Amino acid sequence: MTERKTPMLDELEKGPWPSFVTDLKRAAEKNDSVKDLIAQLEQSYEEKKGHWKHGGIVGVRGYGAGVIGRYSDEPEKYPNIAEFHTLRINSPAGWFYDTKTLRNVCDMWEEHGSGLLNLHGTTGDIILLGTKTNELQPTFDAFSDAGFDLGGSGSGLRSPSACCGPARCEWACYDTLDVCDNLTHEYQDEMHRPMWPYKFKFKFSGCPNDCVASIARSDLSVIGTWRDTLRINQEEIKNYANSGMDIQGRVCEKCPTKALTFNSETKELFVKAEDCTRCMHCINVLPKAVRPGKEKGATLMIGGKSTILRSAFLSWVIVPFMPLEAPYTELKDLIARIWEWWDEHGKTRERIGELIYRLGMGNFLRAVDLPPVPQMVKEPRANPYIFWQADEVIKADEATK
Amino acid sequence: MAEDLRERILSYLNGVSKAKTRDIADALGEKKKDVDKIVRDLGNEDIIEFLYLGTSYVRIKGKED
Ligand code: HEM
Ligand code: HEM
Ligand code: SF4
Ligand code: SF4
Repeated sequence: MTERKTPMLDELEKGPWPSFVTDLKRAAEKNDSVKDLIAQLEQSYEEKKGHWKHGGIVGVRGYGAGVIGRYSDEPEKYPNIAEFHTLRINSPAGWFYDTKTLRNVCDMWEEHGSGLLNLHGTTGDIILLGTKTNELQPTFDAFSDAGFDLGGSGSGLRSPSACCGPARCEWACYDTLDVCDNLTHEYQDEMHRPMWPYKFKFKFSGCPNDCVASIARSDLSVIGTWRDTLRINQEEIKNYANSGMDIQGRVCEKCPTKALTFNSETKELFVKAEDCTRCMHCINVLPKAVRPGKEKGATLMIGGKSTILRSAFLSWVIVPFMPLEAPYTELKDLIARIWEWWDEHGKTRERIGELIYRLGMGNFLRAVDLPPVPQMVKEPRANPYIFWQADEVIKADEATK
Repeated sequence: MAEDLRERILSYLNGVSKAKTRDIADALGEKKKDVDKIVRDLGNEDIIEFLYLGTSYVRIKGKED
């Protein structure tokens, strides 16, 4: 292979930050497909045009998801990336590995593919970038023998993902890792054999800090919360105040619902429980003094997604509070009803949030048998999603006759 | 019954280049859930394959348009 010049890519190595170009060049020393990848990318930059072809059929036996087929549209010029498919590997809940496992992942991927990989981005999966069609099954077999499975892709369930939760974080209001693992096993078919209108994602955050950004990145966001009132340790509040923390300015005035009052004489902090929206702000600023309540569970929200048929949506509340204890029967029953309605009424490529937008929150709630609650109001003093039904209005009419 | 549905699904798929399981269920007047189950088995038996063209379809393995 002759070395090709890549002036535009080289430019990207000049800043003070680490560059993916440097990484690619290093990988290219070991792998010819990366050489062609770099050359084709340079051409794309020159022409301001992508050179990847999508689609077709690639996969491993029995699976309809987890492999994303890609081909160069100039295979004669770039023979080593004529086929350059991506595999998604389902990652462990909370993304914990030991070093031996990570080395093994790298070794397997250098043997079977380009050696390029991406950990835990938007999908949550391990993304293996670039291999040939005839390497797909051997790659899958190797990862499978090492205890890994493919993740989701296409019109099915995507690999669920969770924040590190109770493993490392004291704010976790439920066991994100266990729910994620439990549901991943429960819904193997939904993940591996895509049969829906379009994709569906769960993401589990242990508290409203929402470290996996489930509100924006998942169709069903499960976000830990507490039902009672947050707990305040007045001794620690005094310590914060004495060490110069501006509790009035940094905590009380930043509370979105003004639920907090600080007595600067006695150096005590008080919360009006019914006003607190459980946003975590005061806890994040005063972690030693304030913590979540005792009665813990999760808020379920629906419809988060990026743009496709409609603009990007953040998910919105459907269940303000659900206790989450294994085996998560209440959650699974609700999921079953949600999927059934969506699968029945959704158009091709329509996400659940878009379907609710099209048919109305009221219809959705009646179909999945959830009561309307004040937490569903779109925004204060704005139009709620809940309207009177025709039969209810007729009854009222008759009453006035 | 399931045997019969399996045959009908296969003959439907033999007549088209590709389909979503929703289309199969609607065309055969069956519940999507029942169709999904059989299509899943056909996938495991390597008789059908999945393809992704903006959304996922199934087709008889190797069948061209
Ligand atoms: C043939 C080449 C490639 C194909 C077919 C491909 C395809 C994809 C697909 C399908 C996704 C998932 C998007 C989603 O979740 O909706 C993705 C994500 C991503 N790709 Fe690529 N990609 C390719 C090359 C590359 C290269 C060369 C890089 C960087 C050097 C890259 C970086 C990424 C990153 C960082 C993500 C995000 C991963 C994640 O968030 O999970 N890709 N790619
Ligand atoms: C000043 C410029 C930039 C800023 C401040 C910035 C900031 C960020 C931040 C905050 C994230 C989220 C990281 C996380 O949640 O863990 C992110 C993700 C990402 N950024 Fe940037 N970014 C910049 C430029 C770029 C550029 C130039 C590229 C591509 C050439 C890029 C590609 C990406 C990708 C692919 C991700 C997703 C990574 C993943 O999901 O694994 N960013 N960026
Ligand atoms: S979302 Fe909450 S519980 Fe999960 S890691 Fe972040 S702060 Fe901790
Ligand atoms: S959690 Fe948020 S809303 Fe509740 S008291 Fe603290 S800052 Fe205010």
